Amino acid sequence: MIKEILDPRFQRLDVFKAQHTAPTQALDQLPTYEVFVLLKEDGQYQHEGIVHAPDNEMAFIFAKEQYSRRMTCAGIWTIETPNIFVSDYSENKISIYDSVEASSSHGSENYKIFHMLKRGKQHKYAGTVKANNAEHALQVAKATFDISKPILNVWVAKSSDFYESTEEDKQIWNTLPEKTFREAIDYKGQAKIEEFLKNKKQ
Amino acid sequence: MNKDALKDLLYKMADDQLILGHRNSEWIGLGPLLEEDIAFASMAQDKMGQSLALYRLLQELGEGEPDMVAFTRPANQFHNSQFVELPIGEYDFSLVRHFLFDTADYYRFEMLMASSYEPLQLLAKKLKGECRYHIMHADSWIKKLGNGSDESIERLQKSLDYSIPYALGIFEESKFENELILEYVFEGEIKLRERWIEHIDAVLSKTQLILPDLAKESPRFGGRYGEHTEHLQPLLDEMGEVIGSDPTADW
Repeated sequence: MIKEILDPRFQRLDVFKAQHTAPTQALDQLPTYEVFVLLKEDGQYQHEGIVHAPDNEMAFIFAKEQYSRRMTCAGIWTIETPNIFVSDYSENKISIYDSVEASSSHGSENYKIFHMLKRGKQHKYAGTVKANNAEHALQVAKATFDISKPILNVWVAKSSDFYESTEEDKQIWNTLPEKTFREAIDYKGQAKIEEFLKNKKQ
Repeated sequence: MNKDALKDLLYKMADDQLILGHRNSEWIGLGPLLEEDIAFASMAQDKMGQSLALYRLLQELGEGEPDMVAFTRPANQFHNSQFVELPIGEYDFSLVRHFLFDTADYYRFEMLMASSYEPLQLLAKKLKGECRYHIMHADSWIKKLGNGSDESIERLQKSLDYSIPYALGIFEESKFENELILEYVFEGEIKLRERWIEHIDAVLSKTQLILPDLAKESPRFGGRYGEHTEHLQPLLDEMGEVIGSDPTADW
């Protein structure tokens, strides 16, 4: 047990005097949302990770700080995890589309298609197709997109299930460029430690 | 351009950002959920960056070096509103303060995008994006929790009722108010207050929260003239602890 904490925030809190309450199970874990980020205006959306959030709008709010704080960003999409249909995974040079029958008859709903080209790499947005359901969207995608390279896994999700940042939202990524004070490297810690050690030896 | 008027405006803005940035950073590692902890800490850091940018403008006008100005003045030389120096309390209060203060902040910078003082006009344009995110974050939480459970609505309402007199203190007029308006530096606290009310009223009307009758409230003024609550000096002591024990400390 820690006897003394110097951080004044903790001293104020009296954490060790506080009565520990049992976690309230139902409230302790919010659902997960998948986050897709557009790094540059002319790039493509790619999967960056997940956030816990109470709803899609809050997922976007959290994703902005979590996944676009340090890099450039031109847009974010979020979607609740269970709303993504995940195809089987294939290996080596076998494309997942090899076992899908192409379909040229379109449906009435928009589905977004994300492709994984390499194991361990993020899923990237390939485009949107009109289909009746996720399986049908896969079939339409096969007939629509360039699938000359083997696609190892596909994510399919209804466009209407996404929360998409708007044109107006873009201004939130237009911030002060002088952010070096946010980076550990700016404090030149290693150089200072070395100098300290050098002086100590002398 | 009246230099004293300009300095007065820059000091109150910079001090607001510095003090609230420090206050909000007290939540780091203690936030209600990891994602919110990151977002709130990041916005606190934005405020520190904004205060630094404003202290630099003051330095150009002949004031001291930003670190010294930020960490070595006594409380009665600070021009922040009393609202920002209040302890963080529980998360409901910190969220409500974030909502009320950052809304005012957003519109202040928006108005300053038309300022006749060019360095401030340029800075306001640069900060717009950051401030925009801050109010998106605040509005989303207020709408979510203001329509949430009985407990969340009751907590927010209590914090709102407590905060409103302090929030009105943000708009305490400067003794240079007329000069600032006449020289088109800043359109003034009264205009800002109008835009602030419009925004918070629009957000609150989408919730079950009730905005108290502002005409019946007495604003907590004084902060802009160096009168502060008992909470500011201990905070300044804590912030200045390193520089106070070794003014040459470097890290």
